[in-house]
Amino acid sequence: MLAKALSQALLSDAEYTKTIKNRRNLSILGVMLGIIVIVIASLWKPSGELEFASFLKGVYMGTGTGLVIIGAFDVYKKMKLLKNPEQLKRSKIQEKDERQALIGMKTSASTLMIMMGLEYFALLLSGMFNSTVFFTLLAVLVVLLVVMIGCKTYYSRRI
Amino acid sequence: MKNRIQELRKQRRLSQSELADAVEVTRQTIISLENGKYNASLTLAHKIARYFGLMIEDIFLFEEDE
Repeated sequence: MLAKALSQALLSDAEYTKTIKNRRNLSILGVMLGIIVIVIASLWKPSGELEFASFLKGVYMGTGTGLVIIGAFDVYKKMKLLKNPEQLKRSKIQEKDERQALIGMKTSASTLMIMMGLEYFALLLSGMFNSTVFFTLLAVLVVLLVVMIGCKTYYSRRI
Repeated sequence: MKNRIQELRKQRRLSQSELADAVEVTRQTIISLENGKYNASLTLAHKIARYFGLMIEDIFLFEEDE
């Protein structure tokens, strides 16, 4: 959503068609990556020391399956779009609509602020129970702040 | 910011969808513009003005307090 909102440059029909083709190719790569993840997860024999090994294996299998299903569906959608010029035009308008872009940006910004607040609250709470969780949350929060400051600096100079 | 988009659209017997297609935005954007909930960017304001054959100032009513 944010990526789409950021790419608000006016595109010609030919450029938009090229963009859709690139996204279709990325989805094909996603499907292939999903298959690779499923294969690796199937062959992986975790050591007995790893606490929740079978749960992790399930997570990896689920991730791979998700990538395959979503990727395949997206490829089908993009190919259908490329065959229908009217639908392609509608898709372009929907994507490049400035109000939609503004909604996307505001959603992302609000979500970031709310999540940072919730994460800080979880950080304070976790400190009473588990130091690993506390430091993990702290590290994520610090990285989030650094990335936010970096992005603000970048866009302040660019725009 | 107030505007005359709805008035001008109805004068020309256009639907919101037809106007949206003409200026390359979604129908929801036209609805929000007409309700005053959304302010058009300069690019969109220019497109709308050009479509109606008017100046931007004739369509979008800028008030000093804004």
